[in-house]
Amino acid sequence: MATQLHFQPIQGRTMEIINAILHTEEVASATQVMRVIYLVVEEVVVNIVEHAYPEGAEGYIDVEIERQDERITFCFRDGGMPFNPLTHEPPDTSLPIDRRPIGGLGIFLVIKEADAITYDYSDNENVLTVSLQTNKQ
Amino acid sequence: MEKADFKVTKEGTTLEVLLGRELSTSNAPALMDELAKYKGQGIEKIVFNATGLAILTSRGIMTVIYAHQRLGSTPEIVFLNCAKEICDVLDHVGLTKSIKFEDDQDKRREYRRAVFSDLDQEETDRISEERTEALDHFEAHNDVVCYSMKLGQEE
Repeated sequence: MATQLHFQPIQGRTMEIINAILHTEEVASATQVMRVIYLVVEEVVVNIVEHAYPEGAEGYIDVEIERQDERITFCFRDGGMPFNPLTHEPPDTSLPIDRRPIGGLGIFLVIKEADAITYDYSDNENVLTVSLQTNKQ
Repeated sequence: MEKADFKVTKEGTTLEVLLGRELSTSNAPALMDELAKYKGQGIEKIVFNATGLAILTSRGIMTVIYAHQRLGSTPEIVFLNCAKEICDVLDHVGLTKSIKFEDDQDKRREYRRAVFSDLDQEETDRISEERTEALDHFEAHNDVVCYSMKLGQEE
């Protein structure tokens, strides 16, 4: 089964978009990894809403959620500036808390938690696909 | 649409932050604003009571870093009754070395009592609402006048 969602405009609608994704049938059936799903969805959506489009531009997010056997896959598409999160420099996690920048951990956490993650830029769109195993303990 | 499901209390130079089910983009900005009120008040320790915390995202982690760096006195950060999954997230970002983890059974029991008493109230309200609706429906479809009374209440 798969669900496709389209959000436009996106500015000021972060929580609404996150909640719509979390309330899909595919997500509801993956209770064992709900914590990770929540984290992945929030980090990616926040990143697109806040950074993908130039200020004032009316952006969009397309999300496809697919559930297959013991796997759930999220495909996020946006028409914003090309940004490959997989080549983004990771934060220095060896720094003590008093020398940490406040921020920059979102995509890093998604990469850490995902079982598979790919990025592509095609047809003027960023396409980020994140897969999670749903049979984890 | 931010949920303020946290409570901040100050005792001497210690702040206790009672967290709800999540510390994420839905409530972290509000908690950051709340913590900013204690800037320059000589806070030496911040205890995040994470007994009920199930979801921690980067926004939540930002709040913890902010609390340590911006309150003016680099307070010690303590996480109380932290679930393994939450510890794992803090470990991924390398913060477990900078945070003290403690277990407090009394706080755990206190939290459970508070949660269960809330659920009881919600359940009571739901049943009461269902009964009222059923009574209204019956009254609307029958040639009678229905009313309900609490025990001990005079007509």
